Amino acid sequence: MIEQSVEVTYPRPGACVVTVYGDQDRGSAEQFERQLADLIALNELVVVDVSEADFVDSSFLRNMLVADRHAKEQTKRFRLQMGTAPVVRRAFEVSGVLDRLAVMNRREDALGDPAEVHEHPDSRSSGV
Amino acid sequence: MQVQDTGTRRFGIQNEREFDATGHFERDVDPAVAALAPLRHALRAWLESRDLSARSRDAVILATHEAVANAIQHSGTVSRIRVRANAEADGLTIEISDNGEWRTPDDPPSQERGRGIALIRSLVSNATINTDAGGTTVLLYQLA
Repeated sequence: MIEQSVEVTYPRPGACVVTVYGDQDRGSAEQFERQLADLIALNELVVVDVSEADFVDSSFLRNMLVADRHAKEQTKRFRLQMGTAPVVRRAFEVSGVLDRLAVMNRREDALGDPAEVHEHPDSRSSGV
Repeated sequence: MQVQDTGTRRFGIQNEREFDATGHFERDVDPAVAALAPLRHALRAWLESRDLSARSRDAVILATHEAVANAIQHSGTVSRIRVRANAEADGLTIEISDNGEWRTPDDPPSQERGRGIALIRSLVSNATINTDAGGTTVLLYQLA
């Protein structure tokens, strides 16, 4: 049985955490892109937590870049909470997407004040 | 009449089909995104029986997924996409072939899209893509 699911929580007003589970591929990509766009429009901070994901493909990686662009265009914050599944981390790494996003390993860092958060060092040097 | 000895009897294997079941993977995939997850899981089950690191296994699964997904999205084929994998002495070969005609995307490549091929090339030891009038074949090779 293949499961693709997303859970959205609101730890405080203006901030939401989108936790993705299982396999995330083209089968769910379009819907997820719309969902992220809506959440960015309605919140100041959106965190996507991939620590529970088992598999992501290039369509999911693309959605991360699109969401990051949308957030920047609206002067919002978009962050990735990276997990431990090696295949998920590797997909982000070899695609170069990891270098282009604000990435945190802990939830409290991902939800932290922008001024206090130390973003992924490569996200500052990517020139994007 | 001389009978060709395939060598399989030395290992107590009764027939070629049994031997193929361990060294060869074949699946014809419907050209639909819903077919991707079952393919990944079937390929994973086969790869777990091979002498391959988890890192290489994950790379092969993701690269194969991307190649098949590209065929589904860009080849326009209505026929099934063929996935064939062979275990060899020093690694694996995986062949993904369709008989469609790849369409050029309307939009030029950008930083956000068109990452599938680059991802494939980053994941496996070697990847080649051959396109002719009969379709497209992606050949992946992964060192063990």
